[in-house]
Amino acid sequence: MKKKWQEYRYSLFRFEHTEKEWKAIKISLVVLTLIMDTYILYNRHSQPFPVGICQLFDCSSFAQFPIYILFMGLVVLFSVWYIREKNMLISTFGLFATGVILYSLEESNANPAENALMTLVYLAHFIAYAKKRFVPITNIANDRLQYTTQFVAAVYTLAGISKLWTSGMSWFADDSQKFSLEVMRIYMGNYVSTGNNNFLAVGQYISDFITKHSFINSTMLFIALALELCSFILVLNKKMAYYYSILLLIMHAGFFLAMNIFFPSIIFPLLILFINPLYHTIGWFGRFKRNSPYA
Amino acid sequence: MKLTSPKFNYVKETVLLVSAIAIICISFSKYRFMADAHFSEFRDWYPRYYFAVFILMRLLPVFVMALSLYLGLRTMPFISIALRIPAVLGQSIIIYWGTEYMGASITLSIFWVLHLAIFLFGKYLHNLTRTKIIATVINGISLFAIYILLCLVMERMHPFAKYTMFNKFQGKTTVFLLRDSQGELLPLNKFSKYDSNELFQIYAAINKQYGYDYLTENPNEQQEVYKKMLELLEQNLTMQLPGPYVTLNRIDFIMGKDKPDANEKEVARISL
Repeated sequence: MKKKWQEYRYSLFRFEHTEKEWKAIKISLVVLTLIMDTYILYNRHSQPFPVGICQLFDCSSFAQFPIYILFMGLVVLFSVWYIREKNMLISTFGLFATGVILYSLEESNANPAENALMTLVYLAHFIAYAKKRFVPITNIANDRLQYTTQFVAAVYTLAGISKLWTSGMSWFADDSQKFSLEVMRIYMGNYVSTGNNNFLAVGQYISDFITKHSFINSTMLFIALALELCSFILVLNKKMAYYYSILLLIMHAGFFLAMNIFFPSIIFPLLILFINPLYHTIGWFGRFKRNSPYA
Repeated sequence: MKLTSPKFNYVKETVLLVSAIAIICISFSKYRFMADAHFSEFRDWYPRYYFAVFILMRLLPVFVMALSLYLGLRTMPFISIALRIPAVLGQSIIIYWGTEYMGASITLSIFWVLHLAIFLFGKYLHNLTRTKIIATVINGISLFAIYILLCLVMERMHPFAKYTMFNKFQGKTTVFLLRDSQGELLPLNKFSKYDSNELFQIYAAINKQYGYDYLTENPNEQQEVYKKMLELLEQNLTMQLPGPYVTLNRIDFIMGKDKPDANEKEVARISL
């Protein structure tokens, strides 16, 4: 028992990873960042409801020609440095700062989608590399992933705290029937956005199911809330983060099935950081190539 | 445990003294009303120079005091970086928000008390953080704790947010849609850059901008809001709307006896 406790103590907050894993994470994050940044620059050319940093200056000026070309050029430059592990302090801070501007612009268009993780990952890396700069004995291979995990856990915990703070226990108990109104709203919204009648039928079916099976509905909501509030488990160690992130992804899958909602700016970082599909895909192909009779 | 005094640091003490004198002067000057003003008030007072005045009157004193604290902590040979940076950040937040909500004098008193506490007990704290498990725990959860605290305290400012999505299930939900003169649905994705969810967020944002509560639905206020919605919609059209007119409708879902009830009504019209 004592040995197990000592082993556990040694693994506490340990997130060591190989250079190949780290590179796969960086490439995946950069691809995601470039896609989302391009989407925002292409679609948001004004800021009718300035929030955050966009209250200080007009963020939409970065989306105007030719500034957006220079801006994206800068993002690409930071991305290349970041992937090549060059000038990490500048590249991580640059990706963080450009992300803050772009996602503040997105939020200034009345889109409250919680995109913070897209910039927090780079802030975490910046803090890790800054700490390495000033405290050379720091274990950078641990900190850059562990600090990111802390932010991911904080985001989920805040979501849970927000629900408890605003609604209390009634979020999953008394108010759970009203969840069917949200389902109807979302599916009706999909119908009026696309004109596809199937959304109406599906929305009606799910809404009826929720209304008739309130116990199942309340249980599911309780589990979702518990998962969010217990997200600090992610920071304990890499193994715990892997298994807990699978639970969180299952939770997101449940939300997608019930409500047809998808949060790319939360789900993809979660997937990249803890499951690292690119690393495992390359690893699988590598094994295939080694085992192939034509190799 | 024997405590030893740190070496006197002239730079730190000078910066501290200058910042304290500056803040005291501001507090007694005709500009003292700015010492605890919110950012939005500066925009009202100085439409052209609000940013510069805000930096000078609110952020600069905070920065100077944070700098003096950082310099002071550095002179002490026993404060680790694991304590130093969170202490400076925490102090800066207390100074900034404390000045606004508690007043400059109380905030300055807190600043001096905390500074004195770190000065006197810094060595003890340093030794504590040198204990392996404490240092590991601090390194393992400090960002987690600081980020949560900042998000709970601060207003919405990326990347700080309160993550309020679906935190309360209302008794009524609303969907906005467009219909042509024949009553046929015009898919939003086809005719504009907005989808239904974004249109509702715009509706909520306009209400907030005007200071209205969209849940109470005052008819006069709502007309103003719908007019603004249509203006934004027209600016973001991707296709010509079919004539002679298009209506903006809303469907309200309310919890009925056994299932949600839907009620649709026209709220505004675009004549083409």
